[in-house]
Amino acid sequence: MNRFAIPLLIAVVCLWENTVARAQVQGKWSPEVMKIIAEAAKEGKTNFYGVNLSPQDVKKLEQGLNKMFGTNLALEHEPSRHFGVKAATLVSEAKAGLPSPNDAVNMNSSGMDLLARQGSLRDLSSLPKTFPDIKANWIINQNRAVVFWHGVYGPVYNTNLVSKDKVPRKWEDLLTPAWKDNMIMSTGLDQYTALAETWGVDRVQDFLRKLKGQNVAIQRGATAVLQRLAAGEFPLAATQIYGTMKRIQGKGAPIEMAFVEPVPMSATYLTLPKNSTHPNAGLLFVAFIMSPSGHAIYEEVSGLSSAFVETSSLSKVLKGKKVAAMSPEWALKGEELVKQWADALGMEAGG
Amino acid sequence: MKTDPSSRREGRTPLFVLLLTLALVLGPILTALWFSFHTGLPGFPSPYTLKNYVDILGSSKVYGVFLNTLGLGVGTMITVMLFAVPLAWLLARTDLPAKSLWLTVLSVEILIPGFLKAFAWILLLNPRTGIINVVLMGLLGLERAPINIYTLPAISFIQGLSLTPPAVFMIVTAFRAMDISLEESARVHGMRYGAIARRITLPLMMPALVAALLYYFVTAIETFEIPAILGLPSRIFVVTTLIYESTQPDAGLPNYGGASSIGILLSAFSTAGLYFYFRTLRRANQYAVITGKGYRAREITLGKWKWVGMAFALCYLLPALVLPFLTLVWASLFRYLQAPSLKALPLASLDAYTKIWDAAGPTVLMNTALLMAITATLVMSLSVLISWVVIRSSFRWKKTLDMAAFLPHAVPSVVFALALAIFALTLRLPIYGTIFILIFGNTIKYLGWGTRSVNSTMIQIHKELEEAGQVHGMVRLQVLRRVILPLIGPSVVNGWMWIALLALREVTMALMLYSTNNVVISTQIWSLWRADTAQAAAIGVVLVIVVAVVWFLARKFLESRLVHPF
Repeated sequence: MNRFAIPLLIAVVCLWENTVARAQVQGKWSPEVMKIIAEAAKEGKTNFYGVNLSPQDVKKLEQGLNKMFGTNLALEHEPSRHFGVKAATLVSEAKAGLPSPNDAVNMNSSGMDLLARQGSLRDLSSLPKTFPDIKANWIINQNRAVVFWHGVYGPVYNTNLVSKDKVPRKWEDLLTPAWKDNMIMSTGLDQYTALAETWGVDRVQDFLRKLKGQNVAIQRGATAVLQRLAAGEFPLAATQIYGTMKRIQGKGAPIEMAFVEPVPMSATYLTLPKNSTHPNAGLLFVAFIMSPSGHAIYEEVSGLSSAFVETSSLSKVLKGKKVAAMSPEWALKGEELVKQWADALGMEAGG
Repeated sequence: MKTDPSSRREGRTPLFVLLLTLALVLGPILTALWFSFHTGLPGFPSPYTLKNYVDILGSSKVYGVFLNTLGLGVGTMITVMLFAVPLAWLLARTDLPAKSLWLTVLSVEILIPGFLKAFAWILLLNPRTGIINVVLMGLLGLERAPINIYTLPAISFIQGLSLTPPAVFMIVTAFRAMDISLEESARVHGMRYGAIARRITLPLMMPALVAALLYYFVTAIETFEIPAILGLPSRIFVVTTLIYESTQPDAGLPNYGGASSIGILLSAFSTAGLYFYFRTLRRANQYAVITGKGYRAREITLGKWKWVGMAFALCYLLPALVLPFLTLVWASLFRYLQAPSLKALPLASLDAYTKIWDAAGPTVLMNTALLMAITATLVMSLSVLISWVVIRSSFRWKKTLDMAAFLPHAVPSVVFALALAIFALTLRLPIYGTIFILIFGNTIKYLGWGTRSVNSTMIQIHKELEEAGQVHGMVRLQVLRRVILPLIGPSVVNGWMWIALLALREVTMALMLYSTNNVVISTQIWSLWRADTAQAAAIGVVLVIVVAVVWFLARKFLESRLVHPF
């Protein structure tokens, strides 16, 4: 008799927990959401394309998603390599009549614009009504994308090598002799496109030409730049993205960002391909990751967050600061402008 | 009309092998060529245009980039020659102690991904905080670092170190194929070892050595990771950097047409190298006196010189394997990458090793195992067939067949993978997005390596054995199966293991053809390096150790079956 008692007890507890969770979910969501949840349950999984996460991080997101909706969905993750390449692949696959392998896709402006122009993206206009955590002003580009996370940029320094009084306070400080031969930067130049909307193109070009004169070392990839900064090879990274800095800092690396005003800010977006194989599960994922609790988990695992989500650390650190936020329209000029920035910095191989 | 009797005997098999090889090789290569005359994205209509070529050739910077690429190729070739030739000689012709161990260590060297090696070298040799530079500055009382890793010679040297192991295995085969009776006659006549090496061994080996070096020149100019990571800080660009810029621009959409056209130009450059490779090889075959009598060279007794030999091998292994591997171990112990120091030690932890199964779980392992096993089997099966036609038959198009098998080697991996993706997408091949597209790509890409390996073994099997089989009534395919295969079997297994290793470490094509359904260990390490450095490094460390043990045991097993144990 006893040998059946423990398994029976475990089964009863599990059943109870499941029932309670379902009851809580049913009470929490509208019938429309419940219908999406039911359809998503049939789909069984969802695939998210976004910045590199470890399998443990993906597990955390999966648990959060299932807790929120009382589902048992499997979350797959495709680490992003290059937004433009992904957008190109998605439209080519759609042209060939293949289903999208991703249900929710993190995209930059030009990639999102290409997908929208090709008619590859779902209309998200009903999202704020269905999921009240998502605000109407987060939906852009004729309802084809949700603002997902913001890239906020500034000089990052190694706290073991740079004392607080030496930290740059304004952009021109980077051009002083003290930083000559002592800086590294990544090939990502979106921050200067954001700055150009406030400063004007000529001023940014002039600044970058002078920056080139400082013999800044160049490295592909923000993580690699920050790794070399943390390892002490360089005391300062000319400009780096806050979220990546936060993630590496969270591992104990002695690095910190100096918020120099105006603080450049660009945005990336979440999109839902029309031809995805798990459309309902994809929708739930977007609702989850843009909710305060989901966004907190995403920020914990990636360091990235949206300045629009009030509970995000980005929203807090930017309070009271003058921000040079890149508008979606200006962002579309990015491709051409970045070529000019790369040329000014001597980064372009082919000219 | 007369028919060549030997051709009649060979039947249609050689023609079938040629058509199969052309079908496999030309599909992706012609796709790349076709796409180089288009702009825009795959699947979208676009007229034929020369714009991509005009853009490239019209840019003044491109010529400098091609010069850098030439410099990189030559520098790499010199480094390979400095290390690979003496190492191959020591392993093939002398009684150097612990050969199995040296060979195992050389084999696992290729397992450490190029980008991890580059980072290891940055930690060791960057001019600001690199440990070696700091030590040298302290010892020599210098104010500036004596070595700058961000220069073309340094990049060539590091790339050369990376390419030395496969070059050793190729040159060893050439040393083995040489008849040593001339050397022995010279020795009988009182000539010293140094004079024998200078006046007999080197002249005899020269064409084969030049052929091997040309092969690695072509390999060097199509590789990407090391020049990209170490060249960019000083704005040193090579052609593969240009291709990368086109496929992954810092802003906007990829320019696949531009990338294809640069790839085609680089392939034309490489094909010139291949032309000289084949020409030199033909001379090598004329020079070398091939033994078909199962004759085994007497090993040169090194005596006291064995310590010099071992010191030389260590001189190579220390910078090429030991230091990068130790850096990898170091990186696996810390939550973020930091310079090796005693001060950092208290922060070390083995956490990353406890999570390895989560990061490289059953699906990743299964995909990797499939990739290694099927690719190696396909490459070696095709290579045996191709080499058999090339070496043994009188088939009219056998040179074309040999070159066709080798052609994919001249196409940069990134362009080859791109062409393969477009090819599969356009034809809606069901392998798109699966592990099988990686297997397909790797099979074609390594066919050149496989055929080099089998050619050199097949050439050593005397034709008399084959003729004896035919006299006993066997048809040619039976001779291949019942006479040739048992003789070359152990070498084929050896080649199989090499191809499996090369497929295991290949990352460029795997990334270009990536989907969530075809994640393999190399792409997993690459992705994790950005998300969790320690975890990526821990997988690398475990991988190197596991493969070293398996490789060592397999080599021991093979040695008992090989006439020439390489």
